[in-house]
Amino acid sequence: MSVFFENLYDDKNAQTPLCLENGVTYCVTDIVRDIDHLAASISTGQRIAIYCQSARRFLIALAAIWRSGGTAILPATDKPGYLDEINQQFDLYLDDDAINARLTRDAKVSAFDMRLPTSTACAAIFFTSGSSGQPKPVIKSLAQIEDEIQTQIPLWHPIMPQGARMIGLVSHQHIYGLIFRIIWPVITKQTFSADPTPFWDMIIPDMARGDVLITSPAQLKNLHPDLETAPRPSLVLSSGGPLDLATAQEATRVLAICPTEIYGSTETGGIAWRQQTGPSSAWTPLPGLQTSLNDAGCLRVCARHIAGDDWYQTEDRATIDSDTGCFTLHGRADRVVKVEGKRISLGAVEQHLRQSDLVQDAVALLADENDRRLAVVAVLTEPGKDHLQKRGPFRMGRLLRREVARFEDDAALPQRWRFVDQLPTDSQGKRPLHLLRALFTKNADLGPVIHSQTRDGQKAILGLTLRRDMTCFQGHFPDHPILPGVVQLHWVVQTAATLFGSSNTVGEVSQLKFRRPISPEDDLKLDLDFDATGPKVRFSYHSDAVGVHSSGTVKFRIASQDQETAP
Amino acid sequence: MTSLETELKAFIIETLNLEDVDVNDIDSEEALFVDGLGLDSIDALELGVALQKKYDVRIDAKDENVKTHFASVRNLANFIQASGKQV
Repeated sequence: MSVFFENLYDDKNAQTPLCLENGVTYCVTDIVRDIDHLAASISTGQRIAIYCQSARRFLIALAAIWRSGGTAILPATDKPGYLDEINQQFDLYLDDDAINARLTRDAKVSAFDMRLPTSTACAAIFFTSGSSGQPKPVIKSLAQIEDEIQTQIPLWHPIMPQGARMIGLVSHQHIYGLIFRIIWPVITKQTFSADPTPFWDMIIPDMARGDVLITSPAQLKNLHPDLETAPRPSLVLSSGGPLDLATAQEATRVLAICPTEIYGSTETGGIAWRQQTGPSSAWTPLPGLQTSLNDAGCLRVCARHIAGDDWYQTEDRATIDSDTGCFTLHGRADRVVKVEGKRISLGAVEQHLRQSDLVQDAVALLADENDRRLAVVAVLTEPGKDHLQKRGPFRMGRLLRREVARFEDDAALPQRWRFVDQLPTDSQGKRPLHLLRALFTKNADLGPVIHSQTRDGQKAILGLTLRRDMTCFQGHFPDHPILPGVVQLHWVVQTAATLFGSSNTVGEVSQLKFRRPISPEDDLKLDLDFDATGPKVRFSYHSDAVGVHSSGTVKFRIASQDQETAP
Repeated sequence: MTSLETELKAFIIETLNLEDVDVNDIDSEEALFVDGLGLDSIDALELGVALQKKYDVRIDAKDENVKTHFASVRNLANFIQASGKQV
């Protein structure tokens, strides 16, 4: 039994619109025809990796793999280095092009088993970043996913008006996107958006009243001003990391609805939900989910969709309200570093800082493997910013150090501080260590300070923090600091190398246009569109207030070309 | 402000890898520990070892006057001068 397959193959649903891609509506029957076609082209029982930009092709491939008795492998990215790391885990790799090629070839559709697979027989394998840094496989059965959806349907489905569309801004390659963008719409017979649309400006023109938006904190922290006048969504889901209260309140104002956050992980799926309407940020467990704490104060959960009757131990510290069953999270217990031989909980240090009236949010870390003291990246409140203005960063750090000293031993006192407007985040709303550490590197001043990063395949949008005192603004015009063109190009090459693994050697720069100067006050964004076949990257620097500042194409030299031109 | 005081301030900044601060930001009389500069016991340990190396002063943790010697840059300068071995 599988509601997913039964809905797809039920003749009554044949003409039900299922997905919307590039302005075209695809009905269930269109999708099923392709599923059968693709399934007939692959041999049975294989482990097949899928990486698609199109959620429609992803659904077709996923269902076809299960239909042919295979296991779906879902890589988190399609970066060659990453795929190399996990290539022992799959026999075949299907991306958009490969799927298209198979769908346009003739196939004998009748050649395979017409019985539908059961939900327990279908499995998908995700990869999480394990503690060793190696991708760690996590297996989910379709039965678990269907169980979780059945648990959540009573919570969210009644809120959605008839015909509400599921609009995805997150990748379907992760569990949260897979559940809400792909499997949920098949089960509830809703229409989902299949285009990769990680950015607000891509979806705003097509938004309709009652849409369900599937987002992450990365998007809710960077709301588009036009959303205030866009048709109102009926539900805004957010997962991948907690929202801070200020973001939740701003999103509520702009979208006229409070975002519904879902707490969970790849290993567990959904655990609990909350809407932050005030400073009490307790999470409500999903219906039927049991909670308890272990001796270390970490949350344990038990639900059918997680581990059946067994308890699953998380590494998130929590307190549970015994009256309501709701719980509050206090950071991860495993974020422990050793300073002077003492184990320091980074989460605890962050929590002490957040309690200060001067601090809105803070992340503690070791800025360098060899550092002997903690570092902190902090976002200050308005009073905190006033203090910083008056005292300067050194005295500010010293002041906040005393806040931590009220609770912790000397070993936990942070030595290095960075005060930023926004904590750096990636497209999953997570805070990768490398972005945080970049703030502490000695030459950080010469590179861009990235405060947000939204990535979809070979495209990325980076939010950049500019400061008047940066070295790159010195020189030129004392009263009118502008960002020199050569620095703009350097940043493109540097960030493309980090994001896409491109070369640091520039072959050729073309279509270069400097339209408007960039000044320290600009809320600057950098768009990168990488093309591995060049290899080249198209870039544009832009801001909401000014529009496009500059744009162009940087073509990289590959190693063999270097050798040819070498003397 | 004596030149030894200025030198000590630069020495503290360098030894402890303090950022966003220079010698002019540190008052010779402000407390080095807890309040003022807000150094802690781990800083004290590092600073003590580095001072012994550079100025060849012996710092006896059991000496009751240690606290006084380390109270401020001025006291530290006086202590080093009194021990008479500075360069």
